[in-house]
Order: sequence, then C-alpha cells, then structure tokens
Amino acid sequence: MVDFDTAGQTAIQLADEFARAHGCDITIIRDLLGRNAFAIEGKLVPDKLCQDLGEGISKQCNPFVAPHPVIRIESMVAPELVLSSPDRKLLPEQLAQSGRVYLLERTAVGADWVRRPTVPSKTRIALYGFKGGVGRSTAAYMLAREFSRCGQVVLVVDLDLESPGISSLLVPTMEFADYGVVDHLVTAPVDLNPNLDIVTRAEISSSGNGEVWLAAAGGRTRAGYHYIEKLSRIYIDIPDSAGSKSMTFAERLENSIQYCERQVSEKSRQPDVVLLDSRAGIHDIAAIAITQLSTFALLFATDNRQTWEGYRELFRQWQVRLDPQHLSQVRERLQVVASMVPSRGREDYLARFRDSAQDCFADTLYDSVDAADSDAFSFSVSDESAPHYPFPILHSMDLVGIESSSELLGSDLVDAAYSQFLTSVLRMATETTNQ
Amino acid sequence: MSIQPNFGSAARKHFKDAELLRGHSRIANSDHLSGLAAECALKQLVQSVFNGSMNDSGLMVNPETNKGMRSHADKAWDEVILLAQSRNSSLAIPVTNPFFDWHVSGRYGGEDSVGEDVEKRHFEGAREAIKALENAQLDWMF
Repeated sequence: MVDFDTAGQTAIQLADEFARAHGCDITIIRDLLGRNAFAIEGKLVPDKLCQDLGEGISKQCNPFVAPHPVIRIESMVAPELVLSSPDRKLLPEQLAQSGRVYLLERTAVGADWVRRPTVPSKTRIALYGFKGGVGRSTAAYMLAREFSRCGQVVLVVDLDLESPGISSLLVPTMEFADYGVVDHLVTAPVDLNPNLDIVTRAEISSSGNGEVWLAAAGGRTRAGYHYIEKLSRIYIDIPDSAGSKSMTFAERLENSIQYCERQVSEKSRQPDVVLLDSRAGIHDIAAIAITQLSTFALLFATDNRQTWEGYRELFRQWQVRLDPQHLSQVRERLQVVASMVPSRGREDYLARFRDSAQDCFADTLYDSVDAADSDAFSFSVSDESAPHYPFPILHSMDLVGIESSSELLGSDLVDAAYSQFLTSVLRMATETTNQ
Repeated sequence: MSIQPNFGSAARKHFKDAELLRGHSRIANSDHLSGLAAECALKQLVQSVFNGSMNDSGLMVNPETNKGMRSHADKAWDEVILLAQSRNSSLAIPVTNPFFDWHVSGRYGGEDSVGEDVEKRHFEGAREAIKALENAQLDWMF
C-alpha cells in the first residue's frame, strides 16, 4: 500500500512520462476520496497504451487509484468539466517536465485557495490569521477608525461567519440592521433583486466627514430570525438552473460585498475603503478574501512554529498550483502583521519574527536568488519593503477581553500599540490607490 | 435474455445517436433518443450517487421511498431532484424539468410529431443530465 502523498507523486511521474512519450496532454484527476485517474486528450493514442497506463497506475498508486483509472476526454459528452474547470492547473516544470500535465483536484472544500486570483476595482483589505485569537478583529476596528479619521468612508464586512467578532465591536448587536451577509448569500440565488437592509452606520468618534459602516454577518437578533439554517446553505457553488446563471461561491461572495458597497453609496457616499474581516484557518472564505476579493491582504501572525508551518503549507500550495503570472498577483498583495508583540524584549522578538517570516516566504513564494536578475521577487530579511517585514502591533493588557468599542477609545496605550501598524497600512492603501 | 444494464454508457450511446440524427434533420427520433439518454443518465446517478439498486423486476428502486422509480425522463427528472434535495446533495442538474412534455409513447408519433424548439430543449436537457452524471463521476470515479 502507498500513502496519499506518494500516490499523488507517482501519478504525476507516470503522467509526465506518458505525456512526453506519446505527445498528449494528461489531466490527473484526484477525486473526493483522493483517488487518482488520468484524463487523456488525443484521439491518436492507441487504446492499448491507455490500458497499460491504467494497469501501471493501479499497481503503483493502490489504494489511491480510481476503479477506472483512464478516461478518454473524447468519450465525454461534457469535456468542459475537465478542460475548462477553474480548478484545473498546469503543473510547473519542477513537477512535470513535459509541460503537458495538469492536475484537477476534486475537493469538497479548499479549492478556492488555488483558483486564479482576481483584482477588485477599489481598495479592499482582507485581514486574515492562520490561527485565531491574535487580535485581528480589534485591528480591523482600529483600522476602520483610523481611515474614518482621515475623512474616508469605510465599509467593514464581517466575513467571520462562523464566529462573528468585528460586528459587535463596531455596533451594539441590538442596533444591527435587519439583515446580514448570510441573508444576502442565501437570498441572491433565488431572488435576482433582493431588497435587504444590511449596512448600518457605526458611531465612531471621528473628526471631519469620515464614516464607518458595518455589514454584519447576521441581522439583528429578534424573534423569528434564524442564523444557523442560512449558514449551512451558503457554502456551495450554484449550478445552472432556470432563471439564474451558475455562480461559484467566490462569485456569490463578491456579489454580496458589491451589494453592501452599493447600499453604503445609496445611504451616504461611495466607500473609499472596504475591510474584510476573514475567519482563521484553511477556510474557503479566507481563500476567497485573499485571492479574489482584496487588493491586499494582511496576514496576522505570532512567532510560533504552528503559525509558520500553517503559512508555509498555504504558500506552498500557491507556489505549486498557480501559474507564474497568477502567483505574482497573489504574492504581491500579501503583507505580514506581527500581532501581540510583547513589550518586554520587543526588538529581539521582532528580529526573531522577521527571520521566521523571511524563511517561510523564501522557501515558498520568493524567487530563488540570482544576482543577475534584478526583477526577481526576493527580499533580504531586513528589507523593509518586503511582504515578510511585519507591521507590528504591540501587546497591551488593556486590550485583553475587550468587548465593545467604548473600551477601545481614549486609551493612549492602545493608540501607541497600534500607531505603527495603522500608519503602515494607510500608506500601503494610498500606494495601492495611486497605482 | 435481458441485458445487464450499463446506464452511463447507454446514456452516451443514445445521446450521440440523437446528435447524429439531428445533424440530418431527423428530429422526431432525435427527440426520442434524447429522452432515453436523460433517463439512463438519471438512473446511473441514482445508482451510483444515491446508492439505488435494481429490484427483481429490473426496476431501479428509489432509495428514499423504497419504491420503483418512475421509468422515463418526464417523471424520473423530478424524482431525482427531490432525491437530491432530501439527501442535501448538490447535483449539478437544472431544477426545472425540460422533459415535462416528453413521453415515451412519442415513438408511435409520425414524422412531424415534434417541433424543433421542443426537440432542442430535450436535446439540451439530455446533455445537462449527462453533464451532471459526468460531474459526479469526476467526484466519485464510479
């Protein structure tokens, strides 16, 4: 018996040899159980060779092999399911030298991490932490306040749908709008023009004419309003059906965010900045927020082994699965945030943090250093413009157990803890807007 | 002697023949084959995705109701939609039944018994059913 990873590597090797020998394209399909099969394009490849290939993979990849391991693309009625799937990726040369081997992962969750990135039209900032509990939502609150202090209209979208946090920091739950993001997600597939009041103005003290608006995960708690029933229906791609077109979950989420942005425009004016508070862990929402919905993504981290291992695995997926152009698009929008930096021994901690972060990026997303190539995407550990070079947030005991916005106001310690982070993000947002 | 069914392969067989016929403007029989193609695709879905089995009379049993399935595409389509919904399964199949006006007795109709628009809807419906089947096959490799 071979294990899952070995079977995957063997399948790639077999496909690559076959593609080179017979001049055809092969898509390795890994089904929901992790079993490998080959979809072969090319009418001229004799059946006997395909049969031999099938016997080879059955022998060498067992038990991670499909019962019928070879599919002829020409025999399919809907070959676009393979050839035009957004999840089908050409394997880079380091994995398959022929340049003719593709991988199509059939997974219940997680495919959005490696879908091709898109670039939204306005400044949208995703806040993400591989591990939870690192002050991400509080940072979102502080950012919203800072942008509004600069006279900007900010929309904060709570995408931490399983454990909403930023919503109640910004607005008391009893003052939420009638509906939330989940309501739009569940309504849009059955009603092309939904009429849902989702955004509500947060009362954040702010000089000038800045405003903060919130699109909460759910609506105001009230008799007859249910949340779980909606949450359990939203994470699906909608197939073609009469009256509506097919939409991936990523497109649905984009649609919902645009709806919230329009609603702010109608109630006040066009939002200048949108903050997307994304949930922790390897979750589809986070994947979409980082690679599809945002202009840049703040990756929250504390310097510990689990966090960097998590990011390393995530980056490695991008490195392997995205083609070079799309890989550049994703890595250029990343920025690490060092959250909860201890006040004692701060500089030592940050130095260690930078080393760990640079290691993680250098192993995965940075180009291998070649002195002749000045365009290479690669940064030394002390390069302040590097995505691994963290925007720091100092840890303050004042921030422990904060439940409402009023507790965050008027504390000099809090302002000091966030000052460098806020300045850096504002600068980054300005640079993005100017580009 | 009855033949051991292979619904998936039969669905493609009927569909490809329907495609040939409509290429020669033989739409009445193309229409008939589209209905049979969809029926076979739906039965393969029930068998492989919903663990349906055949009873002693050779009827596919609906695993939710434990009754024999309505045989042909006009009724089987709705039955599969209901089955998918009760199993919370996201089959990539249109909810609206394109075969509502198809009937197996169409084989007794004459040359002009089917209009072009109706035939086109049935042909595309058959393609959707097979596409849903092939999509499920990529997930579960049956």
